[in-house]
Amino acid sequence: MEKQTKAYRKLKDNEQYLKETLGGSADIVHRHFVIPGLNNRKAFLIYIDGLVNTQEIDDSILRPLVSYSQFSNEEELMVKVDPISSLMEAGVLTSSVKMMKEWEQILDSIVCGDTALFIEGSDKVIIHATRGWDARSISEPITEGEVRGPRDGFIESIRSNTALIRRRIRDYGLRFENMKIGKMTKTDVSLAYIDCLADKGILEELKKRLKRIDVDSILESGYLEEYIEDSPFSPFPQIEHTERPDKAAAAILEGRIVIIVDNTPFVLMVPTVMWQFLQASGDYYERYFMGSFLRWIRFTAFFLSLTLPSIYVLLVSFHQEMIPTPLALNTAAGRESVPFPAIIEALLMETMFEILREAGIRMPRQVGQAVSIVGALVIGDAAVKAGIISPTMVIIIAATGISSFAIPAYTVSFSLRLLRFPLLLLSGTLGVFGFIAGTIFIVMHLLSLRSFGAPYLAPISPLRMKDMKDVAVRVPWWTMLQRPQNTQGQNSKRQIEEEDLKPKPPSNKGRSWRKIRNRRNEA
Amino acid sequence: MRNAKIDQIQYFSLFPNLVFGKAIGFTSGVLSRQVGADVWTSMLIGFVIGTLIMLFMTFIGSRFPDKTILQYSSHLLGKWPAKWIGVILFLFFSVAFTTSANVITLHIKEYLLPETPMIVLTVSYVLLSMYGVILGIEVILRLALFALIMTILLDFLMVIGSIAKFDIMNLLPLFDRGIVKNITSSIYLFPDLSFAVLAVGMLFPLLNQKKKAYSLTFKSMIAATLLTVTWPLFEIGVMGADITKQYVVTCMQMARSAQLTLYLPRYELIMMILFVWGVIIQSMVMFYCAMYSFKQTTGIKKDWYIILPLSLILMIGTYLLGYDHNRFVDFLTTPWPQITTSLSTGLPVILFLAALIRGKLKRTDAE
Repeated sequence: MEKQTKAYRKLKDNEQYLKETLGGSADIVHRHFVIPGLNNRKAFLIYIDGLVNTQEIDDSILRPLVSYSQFSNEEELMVKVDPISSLMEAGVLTSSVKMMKEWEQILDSIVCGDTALFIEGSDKVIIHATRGWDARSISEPITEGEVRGPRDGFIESIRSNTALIRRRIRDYGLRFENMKIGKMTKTDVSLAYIDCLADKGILEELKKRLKRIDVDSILESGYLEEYIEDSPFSPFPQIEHTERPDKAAAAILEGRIVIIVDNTPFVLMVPTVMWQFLQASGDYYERYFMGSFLRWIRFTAFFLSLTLPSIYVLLVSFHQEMIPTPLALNTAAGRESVPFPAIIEALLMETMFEILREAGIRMPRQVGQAVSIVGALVIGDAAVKAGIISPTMVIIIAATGISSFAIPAYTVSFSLRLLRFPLLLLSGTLGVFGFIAGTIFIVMHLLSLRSFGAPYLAPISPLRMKDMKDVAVRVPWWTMLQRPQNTQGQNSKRQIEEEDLKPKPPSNKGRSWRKIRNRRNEA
Repeated sequence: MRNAKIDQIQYFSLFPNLVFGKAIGFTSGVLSRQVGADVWTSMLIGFVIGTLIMLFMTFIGSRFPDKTILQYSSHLLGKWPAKWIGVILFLFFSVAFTTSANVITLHIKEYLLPETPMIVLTVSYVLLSMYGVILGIEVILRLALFALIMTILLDFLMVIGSIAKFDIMNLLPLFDRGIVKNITSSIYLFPDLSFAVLAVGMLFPLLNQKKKAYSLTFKSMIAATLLTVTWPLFEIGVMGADITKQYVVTCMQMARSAQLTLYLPRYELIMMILFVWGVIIQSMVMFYCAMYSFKQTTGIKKDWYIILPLSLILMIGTYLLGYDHNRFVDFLTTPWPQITTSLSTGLPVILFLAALIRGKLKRTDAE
């Protein structure tokens, strides 16, 4: 049999082609039967067990076709139109059916969980949407917990994830554009955006970058992230990811584009600026005083996480005179028995802390927590008693570690962990000069980064005063009149003028509560 | 550079950073040895003259809004004179870089890291500047805003840390050495002002709103004046002229006189952390302008071919100039101020006259 790109007319040829292509896998089901409504023509269904909803196949495809129930009143239709088309229109009860001829499309549908119906004498194949497999139920996001806010998180099913966004945004302009990436995995990827908000230039650039990907597999959104970011050699992430549907919806409403990838609960959001990594969903749900205060706490944590060990090492090693005398004496007393220079001490402790943290993640949860806490307490205390490290160093490393946990985005926290080591080495070898040089190097690098054309440090650099309402502080909602400029969206207006939205107590001037109540009742 | 564009804030942030770094320490030290307690008045006069030259340079630049000083030199004077100007500017910017780099290396070597070899500091600093140049002028000028904030913070902390020790009697009598001496000594500020004047010639085409160039230049120079003159004013007010003139790096001595509460008894480290930002902008802009002058003069296309050898040259130059601080200070007294004064006033005048003769002084869209 000569191989061709389209389905054959003979049922036997089609079956042979499918067996050659898909092999004799145990999970592939061929169901042969005859269709009484088509003069007992032979047919077969093919689907992959585990990816389909078998109940739906029984009720919506097999039962109507075999029982002849659907055709009893459709003889006129059968005569007038093509039998296969009439079968699609009236013969089956599946909610979504398509007619296909190309083998590639047919096979793609089968491996995605659809059911294909082949009929003797027809080269048209009817594809029934019967996808249905076991999925994790929607639960609270593990990596982005919040005190106040919705408790649902994305799951591994792309359709459930798009639905979670749809539930939040009911705008007619919300679009989901699908594509498949990965030659072997054929992973479904969906771009979500609002048509009248998202910047078309960024959208086109994103599609161009995604279409350029020619790889065998995409198993997680992290794969895509590495393929589409602007500066692949940067330690800083230039694309934000989230497990929270509310965060993704907020990004879409700001004019950004969300990339949903099948088989992962983590969606990507572009373009991204660095400050977004220091913002949490809770900032917008709590009162703005609290949201702003928490941001300052995070900024402080960000700074400490990166610099605290370096500052300690440079002060202790090179610039002791800068430490207030009582503290300097205490620190010196603590370091008296330590045989290592401060930099070695810091590197030892940092490395140990990283190992403990990694061990805590890898081990079973109950054991992991115990290992982390016991390890930190016991090893720290024992190391001080043994004279290997100083008590101050333990405090410094612990404070640094805790600071890194306060950063909402794990990826940025990890970037800081990476950068802490070179900064520590520079501070330990060149003192304050090394520290400043390292810091300036990092800031320059951040200034040079872009995320789909948006400057990474916007709106601080370049300075955009209008966007400053949502960086260091989170101003009240009724003052956020415009969407951020960094998304470069089409429509920047978010709401009406401030004065109209600012809440006010009712004025009693010349009015009594009774009058107000009466007027309300009339209304 | 053709594609880079800078906004008003970046342009405004640039000039205070270009003049501040060396002026508050080395220049005020040199000036105090010339005019005693009149350092701040002499510097003020220098800034007034410098601002006028800056506006003059902006005026010439606005006549050729999309051209650098080398390009319009070629347009006005011809190809070979422009090449000579290119070579002169390349040498100027290279030496300017070495003086700027030595401001930092000497600050650190003499006050904070006496044991560290000078060569290590020099190489590290040049490599850091090189990284900035590789990233491009736009990144450097974005960093300028951060540097300006650091500079403002530095001034603020110095003022609140030393205001208690400030004695106005140290400043009196005003113009003790006479107005003429104040004016003639103001040329010692020109090594700093010339950075800004000639940088205008190189960077003016990058400004995205050239219509505001005059007001931006003027406001920027006012900011530079206020931020810079505060230091000699307080140096004299707190330490007095006799002590000020004893030191090479007067600003560090000033920082030692400041105390930020009981818990921060020493201010040098904080000063250093804030101070480096402005000076690194100065150095990176000079490095970039040197590279770009050479590029436009020789017609070399790839930046890398210039950056790598130039970095090596600047390392050697910085080390040779800075390893003996007395030699460095002598150089800052003679001949560097004379050279920079001639260049930063002479070149604009020559170009203006050439434009006048060729009838190229008509108003352009940039205005």
